[in-house]
Parts: sequence; C-alpha cells; structure tokens
Amino acid sequence: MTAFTDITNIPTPQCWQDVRDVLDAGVERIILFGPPGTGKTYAGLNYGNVAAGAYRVACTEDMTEADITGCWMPSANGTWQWSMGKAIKAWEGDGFTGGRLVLDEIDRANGDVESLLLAVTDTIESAKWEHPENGRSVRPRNGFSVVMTTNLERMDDLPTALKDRFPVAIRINAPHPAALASLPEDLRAPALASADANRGRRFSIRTFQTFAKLRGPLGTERAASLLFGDVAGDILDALRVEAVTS
Amino acid sequence: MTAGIAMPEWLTRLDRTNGAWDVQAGSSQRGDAWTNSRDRIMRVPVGGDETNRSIRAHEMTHAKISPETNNLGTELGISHGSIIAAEEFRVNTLIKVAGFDPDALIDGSEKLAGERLAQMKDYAGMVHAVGATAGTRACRHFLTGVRRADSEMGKKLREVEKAILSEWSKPARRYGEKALARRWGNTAPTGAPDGSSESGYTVGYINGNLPVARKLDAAIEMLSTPQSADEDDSEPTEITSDQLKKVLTGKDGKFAPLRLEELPLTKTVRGTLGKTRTATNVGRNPRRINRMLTDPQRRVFDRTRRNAGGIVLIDQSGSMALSSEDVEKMMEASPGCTIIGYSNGSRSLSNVWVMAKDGRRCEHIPSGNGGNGVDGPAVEYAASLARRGEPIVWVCDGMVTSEDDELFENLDQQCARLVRRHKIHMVRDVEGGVAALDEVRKGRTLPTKYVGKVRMGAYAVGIL
Repeated sequence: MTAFTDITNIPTPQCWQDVRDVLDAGVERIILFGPPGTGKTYAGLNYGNVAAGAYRVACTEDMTEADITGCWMPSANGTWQWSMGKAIKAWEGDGFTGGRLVLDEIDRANGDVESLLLAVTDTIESAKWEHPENGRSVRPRNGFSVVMTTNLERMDDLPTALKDRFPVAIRINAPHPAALASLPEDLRAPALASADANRGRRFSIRTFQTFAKLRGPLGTERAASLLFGDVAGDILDALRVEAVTS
Repeated sequence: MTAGIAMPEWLTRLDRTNGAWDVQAGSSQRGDAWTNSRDRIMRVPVGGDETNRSIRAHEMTHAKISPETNNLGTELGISHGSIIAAEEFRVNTLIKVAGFDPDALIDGSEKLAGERLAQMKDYAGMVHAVGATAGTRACRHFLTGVRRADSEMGKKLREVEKAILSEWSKPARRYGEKALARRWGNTAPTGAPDGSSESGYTVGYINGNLPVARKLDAAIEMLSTPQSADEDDSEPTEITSDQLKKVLTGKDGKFAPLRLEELPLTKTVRGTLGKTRTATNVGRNPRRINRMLTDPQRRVFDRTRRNAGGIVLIDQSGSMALSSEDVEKMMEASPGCTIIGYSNGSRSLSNVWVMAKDGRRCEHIPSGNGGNGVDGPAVEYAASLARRGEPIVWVCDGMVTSEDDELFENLDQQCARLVRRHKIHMVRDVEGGVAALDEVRKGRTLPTKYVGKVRMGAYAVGIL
C-alpha cells in the first residue's frame, strides 16, 4: 500500500484526505474531478494498492477499442498477434492480483469507447471479455481498481450508467501537499489558492513550478510576463502588496 | 487601455489560510470597491489606469491584512466609524510603501463632501473622512471643501490629519518604513489588547489600527464637546486648533512625584513566601550530577531554602474599588512580602505607603480610592526594594494615569517598559494576586505579564 507523504508544515487538504480514506477503505471505483493540474492522475497512478501495476488511458474523441481491450498487430514473422489493451492488462495485473486502470479525461471519450468502458469497469462478477487469439474468457482479478479523472465540474455531464459504476466522486480542488512541497515556500499558498480560482485567475501547479524555475534566471517580471500573459501586471501588483508586509 | 484584475489568491496571511476568491467587476466610484474577507468576495474596478490599479491594490491590502469583521475593537470602547477609518489609513499607508499611488484614490466628490459635512457640523463624519484619507490628495480636497464652509474647522481637521500621520511617521523615522510596514501588516494572531477572550486580533491591527482609531475618537470628543474657556464662569467655547493639536499630539502626561509614607509596622507576620533550590555538596539524592565534572566543590545535591518573600504592589485607586478586606486578603496571602499601596490624591501628604516589610505589617490599612497618578514611580520604588530573584506582583487594572488622573499613551508605554525591565507579574484583581502568590509559594517562577492599557503600551513600544 503506497502511503501518502505527510509534508511538514503543509496540512493535507480535505479532498486528499478523502481520497486517502476511500482508497484505504478498499473502495475500487472512484472518480476524481475538478480543476486541471492538481495531481488527480498522479494520485490514480500512485495511491492505494498499485503493487500489481497501474495502467493509464488518456481518453480522446478519436480513440478506439484498441486502447482499451487491444488489437491485432503485425508481427516480425509476417503473422498477426494480439496486442493487449491497457484495461485487460489492468484486469490481469501481476497474474495474481488485479491492477489499477486510470482513465483520464473520461468526458472526452466517444460513444463506442464509453460503451466499452461500461463493460470494462463493471464489477468483477459481471465483467468478462473473450480473448480473440485463444478464445479464453478473461475476468478481472481480485484487487482490480479503476480511477477515473475529469476536469468536468458537474458529474451530471457523465453518462448515468458509467457514473453508477463509480459510487465515490471526489472533487479535487487543491494540489497535493507533495506537489506543493516541490515549490518554494513563498509560492505554496498562492498555488494552493489559485488551483480552484475562477477562470482567468486559475493556475495549475505546473505553472507555479515553471514560474519558480524561470524567475531565478529571468527575474520575476519577465517570468510573470512569459507565463501569465495579460494578467502578469496584476500578479506583480499582488506580489508587491504581499512583499510589503512579508 | 489594458483591463486589470485583482489577484487576492496570491496573498498570504498568518492567521488563516487563503483560498479561491470571487472577484467581481466594479467601478472606481467611492463605495463601489469593497472586500469581504470572510466569504472571500472582492469588488474592484477592472480598468487599467493608475486610479483603478491603486484601488485594486487597496482592496488586495485589505484582503492581506484586515480582520474578517470590521468592528473588532468596539468592545474596547472605540467607535465603529473610527475603527473603519483607521483601517483605511493603515491600508493606504501600506500601499504607498508598496509603491502604489494613494493620491490616485480620488473620485472628485471629496470637496463637496467636505463642504456638506462642515455645514452640517457632522464632527464624526469629518474626522472619519480625514482619518480614512489622511496623507492623500483626497484629504487635501476634502479639507478644501471644509474650509469653504468653515475655515476654522478646516484648520482643526488639518491638526487631526497631522496627528494621524504622526502615528506612522514618528515610528517610521525610528524603525524605517519597511520595518514598520512589516509590523503594521503583521497578520500573526494575538490576544485581545485588554486580555479578554475576543478573537481575531493580529499584531498589525493592534499596532496600526487601534492607536489611530483611539486618536480619531479623541478628536471627535474634543471637537463636539464645548470647552470651558478659563477658570471663570464664562460661556463654554469650541476647542481651538492649538488646543486640539496639544491634546492629539501631546506626549506630556507625567506621573506625580513619589511621596512615601512609612506607616508604623507594629504587627509581626509569621511565615515566608516561596522557596529556592540551591546546589550543595551534602545530601541524599544527587540531582545535579553534571556538577561532578564541572564544579570544583562537587555540589551535586540540592538544598531547599525558604525565600524571604517578594514585593506586592497594590493599586488602591478608585477604579480598583478595593475594600480594606480585599487588601487584608492580599496581605494574608503574602506573608513575609513587602507590601506597598498607592493612590494619588487620596491622602494629603503621601501617595505611596508601605504596609508590610521585613516580617512586620501595619495595624490599619490606609484607604486609597483616589486617582492612580503615581503608578510609574510606585513601580520603580517597589522594584528598588526587590532583592535579586524576588518576584514582584503588581495588582492593577492597567489604567495608569497622570498626576491629573488623565490617560496618556506615553505613561502606558513607560509602565510597560518598567514591567519588562523588572519582570513584573501584573494581575487585574485580588483573586489574581492571591493565585499568583500561591504559585510563588509552590516555588514557581511568575512570568512577566501585562494588563489593560499597559499591555497596549507594550504593543506600542514593540515589547509584545
């Protein structure tokens, strides 16, 4: 079981505490939603029981079943062989225990893939897939878990049947403390507050990490203008207010 | 012109965690920009000119330093309007240090507002307007408007402005603007200045807001209360600008000189107070084993020695409302201590008296119930009697006053310095005093403690 890292001086935000509690309790279907750049995918790939492997699928409109269950691929000796999709790999896990399937940006998947995902993410008892190469029936192994992530703010926008397979949906509105700890101390609080700000004032942890990297060699003003564009001046004003009392 | 937006998410506070803000687009008209720190909502103009930028900086500074509620301090007897005006002054001062232009905070309504308020003789309104805009172009325009209607009032309000500005400029000359800005903007949470359980106070608020707000209240009081011109029975008149200046900027409060009375100490007191452990080379339990290597005499044992006592200073002024039974209670709780009472104006020949010393005490306890008036000299006298390490307990509500029994900030500060220098433990009442002496009896050391206005004085001089 991968433990959450407790970072000194940065309290764990409630949303991350919720993720920890849910995964520790053994819940195997969970949706993490909310603003981008807060570490939802990272959490899906690393937290909870992922010893049997974690497999990530980034959903797009153009994706096909090949990404989920697999496809026939030409081999070097002129024959065709089946290339296993990530969902089936996650079902199989390490051969003893099921692995973790992380479905990113689930709202972007097309209708065909969505239907397939309904089957793939069903309960262990109901899910079943026939291997086209050998006709063997494959079922998810015990321990198989799925974490879906999306930037959608309303879960109503997801298909009802898919949503029903994921009883727990947690809104991630703060960067994980481990990600915050990678920032210089003076940028941690702004990064925490900005993660869930309204459009135009929202900046992901990646933006802050880049800002921290750039402001050293380029200076704060140039780094801000490169990264924040139109609002760079306003951010510099805020930093000026911050500096006078700090 | 590029539109601007406020970024309060980039601000940090020590007293609470920041979060996402709802920033609404407003205009640069006075009153249309505001900050609600509790719900994290801000309304600011979105224009890109200097006025709008300064307004955004002003509101962001509120988000950075102001308390969640805008009436913090009213429980101390300060008016709500003065607290709000003082907060505006604190914020404007800090944005100036940050490099923004507070002179840009102007909407053209100031002259008319000044004229109207002067015509209506709205003293509170005028003082609050001056306090909120002191040191900016808006204040100059406001005073121009006031002078149109009442030139003498214009002069008086100018004195008020100067007095408010001196709250910043004087310490800024001493500590430097940046250091003082850090102090005024310090959001470290701290206890209420009066020692009550009121929460929400920060170091910056106590240092930057409350003294200004008190001064504004004093100005309103002086302006709206007719003064007796002289000692004769002539008609009361309005205060002059010179008188106002003296009151607002005067730091000339002074204590009455000490007039000591040696009461006949006829009764013997049994017992002593406190105990001290000292090292000795004879004993049963070696508690100081490190001394085996460091002490040539190898004093590794402990010896408990009874202390002679300590010093108890009792404020017997009228505000304390102490009965002779209360004082008796204190004397019983402090056997072996030197006990000193004081109150100025209650006894014709003396204002400080020694009621117990060297194991003897007086028969009859003198009644005080006059003014304070002599707090500082009494504390110094008490401290001069204390032997090394002896505790000094000062029973006082913190309302130290001048020889005329008036309140002065410099006297608060003077007493705060004395409390710190002599490590005095202040208590508000007899119960507190008895509890403190009980601690001494158990051999515990009393911490230095400030009470009431002395505590405010300690904040003002940077002790707390």
